Amino acid sequence: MTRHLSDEEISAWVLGERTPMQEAHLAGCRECGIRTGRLQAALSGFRESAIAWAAREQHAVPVPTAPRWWQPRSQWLLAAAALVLMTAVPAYRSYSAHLSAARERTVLDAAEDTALLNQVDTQISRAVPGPMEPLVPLVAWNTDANDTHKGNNETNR
Amino acid sequence: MEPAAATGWVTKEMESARAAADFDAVVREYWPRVFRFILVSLRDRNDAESLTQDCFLKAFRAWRNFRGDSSINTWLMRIAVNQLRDHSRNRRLQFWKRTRTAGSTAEWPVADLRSSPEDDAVTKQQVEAVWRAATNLPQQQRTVFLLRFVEDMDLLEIAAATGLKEGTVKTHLFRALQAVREQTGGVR
Ligand SMILES: [Zn+2]
Repeated sequence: MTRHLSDEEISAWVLGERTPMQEAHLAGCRECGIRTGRLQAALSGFRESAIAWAAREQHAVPVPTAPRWWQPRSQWLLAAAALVLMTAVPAYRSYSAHLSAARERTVLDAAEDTALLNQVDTQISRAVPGPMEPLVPLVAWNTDANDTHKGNNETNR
Repeated sequence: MEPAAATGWVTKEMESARAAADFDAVVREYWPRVFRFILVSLRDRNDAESLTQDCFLKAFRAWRNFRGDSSINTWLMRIAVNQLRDHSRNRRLQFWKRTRTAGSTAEWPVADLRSSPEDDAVTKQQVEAVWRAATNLPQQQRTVFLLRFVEDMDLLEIAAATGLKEGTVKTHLFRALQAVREQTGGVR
């Protein structure tokens, strides 16, 4: 093929319709190379400018994320509320039972500690032990406080 | 509540959640492309924004029935093409018509081109010529042209997205290119 490519052939070339003869001609013809190159450059410049422009505009309006506007909201709210109720109520009941037991334990522990310290204070604050007074243990376990404690525990069980 | 009914309800909710999660990924990946195609088609950002939203809302409603006969991209573009068709049918004062009557006063978005300084002026002029040519194309030709030369879709994909026969797509593309070549041919 020795003749130059026609305008139509250049359009077809850019669209990917190419014969071996046209390819052979284009490989050796500077003028046809310039003509096809110019059209291709204009098209890729057009694409580039469109992409850059859209990216710039897109930047001002980001892709929507949560809350997902495309989701049927009522269905989701219902499902979420049901789920919260289903899991939260038994969990709260068990948690509050646990909490009140723990609170009671803490109160009782505090009472026990106070009784013990009072007992220790009483023993060591006695100014001077009487002569021949047998050495008393600082702590006697069977006290009223302890009895009260046990009683409390039993009532609480 | 019956146990079987409860299970059914939970399964349905789980399916909804899974579909929504899948669609979330689709939105993240394809939103910019759909927005770009509509923006370049309409050249109006506000319209492009709301049309893109409409497009994804329609897509979400149809998402569970999407069987993958075409790619997600082609499927979404088909929805976008239909949206554009309805939009231009409903709105007479669209940018392309304004531009056509305004003639050469329109500004083209060629400022972002990364051309080398020496061929900068020529390339920008040529790219502007392509924008001008695209402006003057009939709508169907322009849609086909943009899907091919901006969205980089092949003939079969464009045919699927527009509902046109492959031969018709080819003819539209050829005519659009002739128009573009005529516009750019003056710059040597
Ligand atoms: Zn030649």
